Amino acid sequence: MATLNRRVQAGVERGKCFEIEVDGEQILAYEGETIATALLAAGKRSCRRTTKKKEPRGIYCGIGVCFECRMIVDGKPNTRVCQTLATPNCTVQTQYIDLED
Amino acid sequence: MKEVELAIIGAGPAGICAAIEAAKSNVPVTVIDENLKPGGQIYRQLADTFAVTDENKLGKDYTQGKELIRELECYRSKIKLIENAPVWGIFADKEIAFLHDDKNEQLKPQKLILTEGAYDRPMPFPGWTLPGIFAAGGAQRMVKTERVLPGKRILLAGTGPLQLVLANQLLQAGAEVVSVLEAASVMAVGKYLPRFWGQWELLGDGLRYLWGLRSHNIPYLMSHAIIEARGEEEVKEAVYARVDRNGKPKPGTEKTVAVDTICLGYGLIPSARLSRLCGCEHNYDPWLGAWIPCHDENMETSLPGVFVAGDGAGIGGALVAMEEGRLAAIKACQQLGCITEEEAQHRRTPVFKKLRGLRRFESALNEIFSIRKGLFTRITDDTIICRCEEVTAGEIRQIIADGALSIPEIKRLTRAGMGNCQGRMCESTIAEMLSMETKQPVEKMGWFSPRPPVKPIPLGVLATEDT
Amino acid sequence: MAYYLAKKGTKVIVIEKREGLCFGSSGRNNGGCPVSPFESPVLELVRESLKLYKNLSEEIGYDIEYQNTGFLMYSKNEEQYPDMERKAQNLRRSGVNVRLIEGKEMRELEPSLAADVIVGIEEQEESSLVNPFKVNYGFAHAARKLGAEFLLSTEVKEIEINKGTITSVITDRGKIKTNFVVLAAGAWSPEIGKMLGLTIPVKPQRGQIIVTEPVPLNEKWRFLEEAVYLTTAFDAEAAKKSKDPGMKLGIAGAFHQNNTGNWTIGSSRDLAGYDNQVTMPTVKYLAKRAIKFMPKLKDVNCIRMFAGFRPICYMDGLPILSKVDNPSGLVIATGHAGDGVTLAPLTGKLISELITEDRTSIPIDAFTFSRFKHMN
Repeated sequence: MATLNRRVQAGVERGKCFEIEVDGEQILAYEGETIATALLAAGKRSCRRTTKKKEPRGIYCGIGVCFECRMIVDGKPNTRVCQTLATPNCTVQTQYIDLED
Repeated sequence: MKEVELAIIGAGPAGICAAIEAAKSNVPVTVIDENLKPGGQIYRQLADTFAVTDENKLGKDYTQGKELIRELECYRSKIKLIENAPVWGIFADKEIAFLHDDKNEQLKPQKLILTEGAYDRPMPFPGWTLPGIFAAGGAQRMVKTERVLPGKRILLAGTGPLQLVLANQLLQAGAEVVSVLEAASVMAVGKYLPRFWGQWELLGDGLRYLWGLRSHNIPYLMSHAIIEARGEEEVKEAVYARVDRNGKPKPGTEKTVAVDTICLGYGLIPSARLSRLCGCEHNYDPWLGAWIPCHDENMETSLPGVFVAGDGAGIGGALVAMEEGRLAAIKACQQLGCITEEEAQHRRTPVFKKLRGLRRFESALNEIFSIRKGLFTRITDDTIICRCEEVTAGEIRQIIADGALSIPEIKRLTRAGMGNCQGRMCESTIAEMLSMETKQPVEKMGWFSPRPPVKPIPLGVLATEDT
Repeated sequence: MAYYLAKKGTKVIVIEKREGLCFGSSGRNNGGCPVSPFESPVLELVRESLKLYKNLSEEIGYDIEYQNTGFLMYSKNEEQYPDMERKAQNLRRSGVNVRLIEGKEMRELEPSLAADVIVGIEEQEESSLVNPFKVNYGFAHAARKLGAEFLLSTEVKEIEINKGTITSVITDRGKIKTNFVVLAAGAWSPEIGKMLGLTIPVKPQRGQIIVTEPVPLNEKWRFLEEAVYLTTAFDAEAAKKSKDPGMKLGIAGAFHQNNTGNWTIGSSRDLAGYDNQVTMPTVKYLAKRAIKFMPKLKDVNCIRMFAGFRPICYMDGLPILSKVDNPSGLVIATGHAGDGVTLAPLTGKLISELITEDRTSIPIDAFTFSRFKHMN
């Protein structure tokens, strides 16, 4: 499990903590956090690869309008992780949409 | 179809104040907001499960926001608040369609107040799509509300006061802020100082933020801009340079710095998607570099009974948003016949007074930190303009050279604007590029045709039966 | 038409009211060119047109993104089985290579299909998708290279006639002397017709489309239509009388997935004048149809909706490809209904033949304007 924790401790006390699975790896998340928050806390900023050029993209606008942070969450693709709450044991995967015929 | 007297779209400071004003007038009001809890962006609330141990560490916005939410709670019995409900369309006669509880719902208000807010202006340059590069607004949400650092070694680049605020917030949160690049020049600020007269609190804030950087030895480099971001899987270094008065990078002044995170703050542009969709007239504000729904002094648009308020009506910040929300609600309530002309005038007068000074300040900020056209020269042919469809500037320039002289044509031939973000990340840049190539003013370039849905909506929801 | 005419050495000027190409129906469709829904006499036109599309990119030197996707017409209705059999037989008799395919096999080949799809007609060789914008711009590009002129932001005000023959066209930017005028204004053709004292029986039939975000490509079929499309497209009266509320709105599932991964979901047919806004009941039914046919689409986001007008000939639903006797010099090429993109290349070729050689390589008697003598 990743040991990096970029959470800011000052001023708040978090609630329950649990694990979520990101690309096969377990990382920590706290109740009330979005998946994006848990990813950033673990130092992960990359979410998907583009279709045409296979370039890496990650969290950008943070408020749900750019759609760059789309990942496959619990099997559902195109889920914006900055707008989706982390839930115990949810699975999150980097999204690749392969359009090769 | 449910019919209501007054509907407010958006529960940020503008929407909340409008709702409170309506509640005070005993007008039944429905507020529809896309987030889980009211507050919008600037007053976004912490998760319920986060217990606040020291408010001082959370900044001024937190305290102000908390107060506003508390006031809202006092009137909750008179306000119907529908949360987690993005509005995706407005049809004939103000019929609103929104997504709620995985169902498609509709509402028909007699009066409608749109408070759509704004989002970070996208300003492309080579490498801007690398992971680790955030819009300043997004980075701010992370550090303020989610209480997480977006990265460790951070460069801020852009123009405008938001960067100063963010830099301080990141510093206080323990980040290593490398420097803050500000495209505007010192002269630009000096010229506008007289407009700040009277807004001592805001000025004080500004000075405090500047001191915050100074005391940590963080360079605040005016007349500087980022020109490239480099990295493979994530950003690893940034290249920046001095810029001239027009924002054009000066060759020979480039410097490279190792960073793992970049926050881009080029100001905000109004969302204005619903206002365009329902057919309100819009004007192009050259200082803001964006389209704004036209409205009179009471915030009514060109469509009778449709009002706008807040950053969705022009960038003015939270304090302006609150007053505009009040004005819109007062007029709407008056139009509904629920308050008299006299009472309306009585309630408006102090609001107008407060707004005058605030707007003067905010418009000065918009002018000082307006986007200098030279910043667009950073765009190389390889630079991605439409992030969703991976369309490069080179492809767009080729299409323009081939004779496509309007935004809809560029969209059809390159697919720019056809992605999930529905053109929000590329429209303003494409308009500028067209303007530069055709030597026509930006306002003549138009926009992507406004159509529903203004937010992506799952087919399954669209298909729900009428209840 | 400009391209094919210019190829034959004709001097062509194209007059377009808007500031660019594709602002009308050409820019509001899904680029689908199927073969199976058709019958004579349009079937022959469609097949010839598709032959032209096959090599068009090469010919005009512009990539029109031709994809030979094949086409599947399917039904969920047991009662329609005999109709489907008959349709397959008719198509085969006309020389189209189709096969009837049972639901079970369909689902084996394409697991995303709904469980209750019963039977389908599959056509692999001819049906295709093209990029309608690239087709339009490509033809214009090639036409310009051959000397054709395009006048944009130019509106036709009057057409001058001398002794029953067209002599010139007057626009808001000047007069153009000409021997022939080809009227190809789609759903707006009647307006020009009125200038000439002619009733051109074409109406704008609105169609609405939902576009989704990109998702992984389907295994076998990316271009499909419900069999009821045959009713909504070719028997509007029966559709209106139907008890099914979706049918009443002229809705029949017509889906295609572009090679970019986006699904375009149609189809709807209603008459709403020139109101090009989408309507809630229709988009709702379109979404419903899409999910009924491919349940996995339930969680896929719709990111765009738009509406366009099919120029439908309300007398018999057939295109009008014809010289006109009075005034002489007028050629009409419209009324293509929902098949404008499909028939574009062939229309161009035929009209160019009609004008320069006064004969066409394929008989177009069924599409003559004189069949509306009683109206004119």
